[in-house]
Amino acid sequence: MILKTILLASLTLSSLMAITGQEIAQKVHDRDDGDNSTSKMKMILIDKSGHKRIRDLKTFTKDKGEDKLKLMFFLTPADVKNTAFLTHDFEDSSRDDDQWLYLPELQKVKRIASSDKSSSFMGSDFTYSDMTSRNVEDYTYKIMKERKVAGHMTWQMLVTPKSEKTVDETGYTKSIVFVRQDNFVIVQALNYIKAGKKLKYMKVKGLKKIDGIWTATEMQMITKKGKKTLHKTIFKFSDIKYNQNLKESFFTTRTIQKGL
Amino acid sequence: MNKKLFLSSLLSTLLLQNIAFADDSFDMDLDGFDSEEMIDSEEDIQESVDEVQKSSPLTVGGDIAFKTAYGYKKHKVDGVEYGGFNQAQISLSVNIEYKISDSWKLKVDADTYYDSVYALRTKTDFNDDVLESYETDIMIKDAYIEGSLTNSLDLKLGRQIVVWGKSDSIRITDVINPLDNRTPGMTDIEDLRLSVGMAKFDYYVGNWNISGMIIAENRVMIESAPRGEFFPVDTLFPSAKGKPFMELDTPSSSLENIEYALAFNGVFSGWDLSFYGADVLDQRWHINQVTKTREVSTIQMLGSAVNIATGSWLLKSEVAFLSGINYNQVIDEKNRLDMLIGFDYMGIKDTVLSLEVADRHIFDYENKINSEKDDIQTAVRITRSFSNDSIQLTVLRTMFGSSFKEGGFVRVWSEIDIMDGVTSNIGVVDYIGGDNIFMEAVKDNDRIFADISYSF
Repeated sequence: MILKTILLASLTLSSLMAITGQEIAQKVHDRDDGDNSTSKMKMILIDKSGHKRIRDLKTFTKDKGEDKLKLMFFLTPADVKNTAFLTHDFEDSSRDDDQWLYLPELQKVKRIASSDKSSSFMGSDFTYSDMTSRNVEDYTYKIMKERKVAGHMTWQMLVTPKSEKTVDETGYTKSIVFVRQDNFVIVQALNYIKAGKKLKYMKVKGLKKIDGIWTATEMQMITKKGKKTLHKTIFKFSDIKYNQNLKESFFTTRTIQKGL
Repeated sequence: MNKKLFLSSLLSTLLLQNIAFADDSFDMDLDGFDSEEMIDSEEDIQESVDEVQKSSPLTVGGDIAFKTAYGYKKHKVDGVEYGGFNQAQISLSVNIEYKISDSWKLKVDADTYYDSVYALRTKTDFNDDVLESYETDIMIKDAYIEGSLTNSLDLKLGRQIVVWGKSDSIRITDVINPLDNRTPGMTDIEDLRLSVGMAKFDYYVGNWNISGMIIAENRVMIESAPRGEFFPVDTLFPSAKGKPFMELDTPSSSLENIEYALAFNGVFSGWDLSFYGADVLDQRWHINQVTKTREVSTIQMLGSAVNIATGSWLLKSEVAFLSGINYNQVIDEKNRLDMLIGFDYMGIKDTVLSLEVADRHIFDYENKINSEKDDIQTAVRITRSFSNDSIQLTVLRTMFGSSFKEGGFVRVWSEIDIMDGVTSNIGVVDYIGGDNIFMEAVKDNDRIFADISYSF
């Protein structure tokens, strides 16, 4: 009887472990993350002495086949108001994303060469690569262990870029990600930064099912060197709506130039 | 026995799998998730996003700023010493935006300033032109109504800025707006252009935008004050010594003087392409050799600009053929071909390196023209962000001449985000003399500058 129970337990564990890291990564990638969405976003930047800078943004996203169109407008503070950022994020990893920035003080839409995504996204601890989806085939995945995070069972996976090009583009030499087993959401990630022996800790602090889609409502990223915190960023999302019937023509330089 | 062996090997495999990855260094790093530094909540941060969105259709913003500058080289122009503190300016900028409907809005921007340095330096005899240009001013910048007439057609009516071209530091096809040249080398491009009154129609079809402009306001450049620090008339025009300098004859805004411009802008994946045509006022004045007055003439421009993004490189090129250009020393109008190539390199983290090189080639060149037949301009700009974009350091060097012998300037400044809405700049500008008579005349205008502004 004991033998049967152990065998059954082992087989169950084995069947769970039978899923490979690659398959988990693919399921994370393929998870329904909504379409035609709008949301409000608060970006809170906190330096090592606790001094806060707060930016409010309005965001729009739309799927175009496998690709993703994204628009972001800064609403506050006053000195960055009406700054807008437009991205055409291509699924094909061999294609560079199209990115444009509208700076109201220049009254000009400026194209950005985007292959290097390791730079800070608008002063936050998130990089441009953190803001775009990663291509599954650019990495290798190893399940390290199963671990509970905030009461939910996760796979802890080591994610390693296959090429130096991907390391250069993202700025990360490797990451340890925690994927919730019930919904394939990455709820935690530790990113190893190529330069400066720094680590970045990402944590999803709020996760809600909105219109049937698992949606992060609060995320944070902390940059550390050793045990010392260098900078923190919190993203808070509110008023998240899906299926808003946004037109492709909305995601153009015309829109960022005219403003909201 | 077989069952036992199978079970034992299965358990061993699973166990080994876990042991293999139980890397101590990873575990130590992962302890960071449990440290007290991780933020649990930010109760003190108000949910201001909702407040922002609930705002009324009328928004009023702007900034208050204080600017100062210190000339670290003693030099006199028209008997006035410009070394030492030469700026203590308080300025106010107000932007009013009213959303008339979902697709129409009204915008008005106005600026005013007062520079107390002229009142503080009571013993200095600044001439009237200098006081008029630099002591105080009030200016309506943008003032327009903007909206969509149809799904594909937009109208923007009123005083506005239209930026043509892909370059950032050197202007080739950017001919629509006149410039504020009061402090050349000190004014960054965002404050350089002056709005002009026009009706601008934008039609969108596929990847293309066709933009037509009817420019009714004949606004000309704001120049440095004659016999001021940046326009030492007696050095540049020795024959003018002791005489009032020639008045600038400004064309009136009338039906006969209406200007026109047309642009085709294509936006594609990885590249952008524009074609331009314009019949507009020149952005420089010239001396009419017959009437001996300063005039601004109309020029015609046909041009094109292209951007190509490849990897971390943004390649830029512009070309413009200009006709009807007048130069001070000659009577005949000249044609000119302006060409630019350049790039932005964004492959270094938080850094943008930019290089632009331009050649302005004058056709039917005459030796009397106070400019080279091929007037080369080179601009190098390096911008790097530090401390999560709270500090931005920029180095800009602009040089004239194929071997930089004509002179130029280098400006280094740092923009610091002190807190939300409060920014400060501190920097230094070094004017470099050379064969160019203007750059040689202003080579001692070097200064340290600083400002602080509060945006609301």
